[in-house]
Amino acid sequence: MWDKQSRFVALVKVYSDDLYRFAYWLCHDKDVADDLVQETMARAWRALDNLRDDKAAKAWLFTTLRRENARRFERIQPKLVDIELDSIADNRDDYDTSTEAYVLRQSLAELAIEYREPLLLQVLAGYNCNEIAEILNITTGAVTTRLFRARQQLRKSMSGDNYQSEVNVL
Amino acid sequence: MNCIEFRHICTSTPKCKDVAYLEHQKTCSSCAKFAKETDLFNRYLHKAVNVSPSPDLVVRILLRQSLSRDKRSRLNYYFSSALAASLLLVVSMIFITLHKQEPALEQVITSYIKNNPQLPITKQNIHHIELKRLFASVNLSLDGDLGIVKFAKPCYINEQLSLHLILAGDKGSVTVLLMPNSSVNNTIKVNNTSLNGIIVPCPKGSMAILGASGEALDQIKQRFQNSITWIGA
Repeated sequence: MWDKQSRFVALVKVYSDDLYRFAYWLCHDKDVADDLVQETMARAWRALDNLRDDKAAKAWLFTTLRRENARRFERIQPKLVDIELDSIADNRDDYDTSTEAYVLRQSLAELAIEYREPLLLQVLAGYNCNEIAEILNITTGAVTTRLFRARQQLRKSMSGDNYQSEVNVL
Repeated sequence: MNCIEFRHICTSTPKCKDVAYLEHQKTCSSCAKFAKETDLFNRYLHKAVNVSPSPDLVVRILLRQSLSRDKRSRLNYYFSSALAASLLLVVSMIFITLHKQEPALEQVITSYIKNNPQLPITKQNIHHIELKRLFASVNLSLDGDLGIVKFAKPCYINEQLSLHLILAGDKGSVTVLLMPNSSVNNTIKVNNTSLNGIIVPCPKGSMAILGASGEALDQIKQRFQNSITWIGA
């Protein structure tokens, strides 16, 4: 049986990267994303004794992060500014700097939150429709529809790029 | 499964393992191509959204948690200590309050006598009228004869206005302290290195009678009890 500290360290190591990516695509700000993950983990530490099943930890953390992000809007109304999505690429080898990735990121940022959230949960966290439905508290049918529309919108943004020529090769 | 259903599932749930879905993919070349396009798109999407957190994120999270844990345990320690100290204080105060009165008055009297060793004792008896006036000033009424009184003066004992008297006794001087508002429950014998006597409860205060060993203090007590009326504040 793990003690609380060991459980927490394991959670942080396994999930903090995925949580960060999810947070980043929710708020489009690396510092805010950083804060969101830290606050989520701080809450997780305080409530860790309530987590009976470690298998539920991932969904629990993503739900906590979503709530934390919502609280941000309750506290202050953030200023809307033009975002420089590629600012995060500084000194990162794993960051895709291709035109397609740039276009996709712009389109993703412009995607309505109700479409963006389920898509990120699927692509980043690897959740299936039922799990996403549970996290977002909507029906599985609604999740399927949103995922379909989200991908459709993003694919539209890709038409005419190199991506399309690669598709044509298929 | 028809093509529309297939493409809907393919777009919303790319990793679908449904048998009918997989079967349709095998048999319909157009949908198979669509599935490949979707797969390529998903790979692009996955790469595009793959932003990395700063390398020290995990360290910072663990540091913050560690600080918060320390702070909490420190707060718990301070709270427990404060609670224990408060309880000790309350218990001490209750103990002191309960045990304060009788020994404290004896100590106060001892201290008062030690601090006033030399008093201007008169050779003659103080006049009865003067005594009556002094008794009245401390809310006492003198109605009888106290014997030879060589000294009489109001004073403060235990922060209460009292009357200090010195009488001529059989064995020497006898000090009497009349202390309205300083009460004792029972008669207390005072017998320490510097004093010998009794502290007697009275209707609205107490009276200390101190004299040399062998002095008939009970007679003096009786005389005072018969001669004084305690009016009170």
